[in-house]
Amino acid sequence: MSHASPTLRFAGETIALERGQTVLEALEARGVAVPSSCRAGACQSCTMRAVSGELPSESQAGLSPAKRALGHFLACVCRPAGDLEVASLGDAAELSATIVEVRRTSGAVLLVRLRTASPLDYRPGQFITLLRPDGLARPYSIASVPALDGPSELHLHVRHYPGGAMSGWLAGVREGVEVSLRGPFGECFYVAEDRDAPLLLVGSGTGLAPLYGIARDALAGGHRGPITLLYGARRAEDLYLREELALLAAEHDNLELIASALEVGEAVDVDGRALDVIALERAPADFSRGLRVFLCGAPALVNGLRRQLFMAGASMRSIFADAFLPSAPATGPSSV
Amino acid sequence: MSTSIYEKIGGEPAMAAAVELFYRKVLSDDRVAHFFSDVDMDGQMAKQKGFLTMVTGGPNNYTGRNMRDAHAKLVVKGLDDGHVDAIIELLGETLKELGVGDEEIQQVAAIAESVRDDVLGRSSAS
Ligand SMILES: Cc1cc2nc3c(=O)[nH]c(=O)nc-3n(C[C@H](O)[C@H](O)[C@H](O)COP(=O)(O)OP(=O)(O)OC[C@H]3O[C@@H](n4cnc5c(N)ncnc54)[C@H](O)[C@@H]3O)c2cc1C
Ligand code: HEM
Repeated sequence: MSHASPTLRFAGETIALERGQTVLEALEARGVAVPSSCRAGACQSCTMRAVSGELPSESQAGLSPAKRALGHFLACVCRPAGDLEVASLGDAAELSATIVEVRRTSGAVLLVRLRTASPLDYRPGQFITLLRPDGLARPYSIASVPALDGPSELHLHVRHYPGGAMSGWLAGVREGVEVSLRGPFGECFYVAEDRDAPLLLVGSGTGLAPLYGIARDALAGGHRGPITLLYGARRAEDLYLREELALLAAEHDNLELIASALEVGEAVDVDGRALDVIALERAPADFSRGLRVFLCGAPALVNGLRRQLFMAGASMRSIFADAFLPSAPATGPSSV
Repeated sequence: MSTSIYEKIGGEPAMAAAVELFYRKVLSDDRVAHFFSDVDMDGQMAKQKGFLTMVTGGPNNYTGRNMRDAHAKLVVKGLDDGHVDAIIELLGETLKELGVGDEEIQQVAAIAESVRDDVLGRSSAS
């Protein structure tokens, strides 16, 4: 067996890979700008394409069979065992969009409306990578529903973090500014089968964005089974979208809303228990009725609840989840 | 050729359910749970599927790392004979719940036994 380190070829250049180095790290060390955010194989911002060579299977985890067949892979978790030639997906994979409106609501949430240059084929609950004109990339989940809101209209709910690179920029952006999108990505969406089965949607903070999309999509698609939307924030006054949700529930008998906050304060209709406690109390009774669970938001909640529900007897195939991993700074030699 | 236990359980489609059953047992067992506490549950399940397919005599298309390399990191963390015993025990419980007979469970355990030294990273007992 050869012990020479594998090489990476990109845009006519040959780069010797250091032991354990990812394709993303190697390219960044060369000064190649690759969009990236979570750097943990989840957000898909850094998707690239293999031209030749073999891809480690973990670098294609979470990609659709079609994308795998096209040689798409995630550069941030790709540590090639042998020589590999890669290419960026190119501008063809990006869609331009205009920021139509940014409206601030409670909980420091920005309701962002984008209009894409051409219709985007997506399912509510999937996520896109939003690219700022300077290339900064962050994934955001889609709250809109094409059939209800129009095929070129995208709604995002972005939590404004003070000092946040993307969310801070969005908080002050002029309407009419052009951005780019990649995607859609992910498998956290409603499929119109078994319309009588119960659905449980659990989300913290802006984890509500994909769940709002999924709930409206399921209801518009004629879902008959009970839908429970369990959403929460740390403080009751940070809960947002409450009016829209109340309207939706008034229109649909099979939609039940449960709001949760650890600091309930003066609020009425807010459960003071943690989301996972409420979810674990309600879900198991529905396992035998084909319950499907959707989990979005804080990674600790999403990953913890996913595991707890699995241990309580839910099949992993009935749990759809997107953990909102924060973006991670570039590491290794490229950051110095 | 006699049908493998893999086929008797129901082949590939049944494997998904078997893996969930086995993985749930492993995560509930204090003796071994800490080896499996990775947050990447999908990745873990894919690997446990490889494990179950291999020991039940499923299609020999395991393309992952060899048993020694796959467990090397765990040996550093203290993997020992007791852990292998526990895994074989949980494997037996899983198969029993799937309706596999005692005799066949013994055959599966023997396949797992046969790689014990590799899993524990030692040269085979002479
Ligand atoms: C699949 C996926 C879907 C996502 N969908 C959404 C969505 O629909 N809505 C949404 O608002 N976000 C979503 N996110 C998170 C989003 O991509 C960004 O990470 C987030 O908006 C912060 O980016 P930023 O550039 O504003 O902050 P950054 O510049 O990346 O971070 C700056 C500082 O902000 C603070 N900060 C950032 N994130 C957090 C956090 N999670 N908790 C506490 N403090 C933090 C920290 O102090 C951090 O140092 C999603 C992430 C993933 C992986
Ligand atoms: C008894 C015989 C055993 C067999 C035949 C076996 C088989 C396997 C196989 C086929 C894989 C997949 C490797 C891959 O795809 O990369 C694997 C991975 C793994 N095994 Fe075992 N195994 C055995 C014992 C054990 C024991 C005793 C433990 C711990 C208590 C254990 C813990 C693990 C873990 C944690 C992984 C995942 C490693 C990783 O994520 O890199 N195994 N095993």
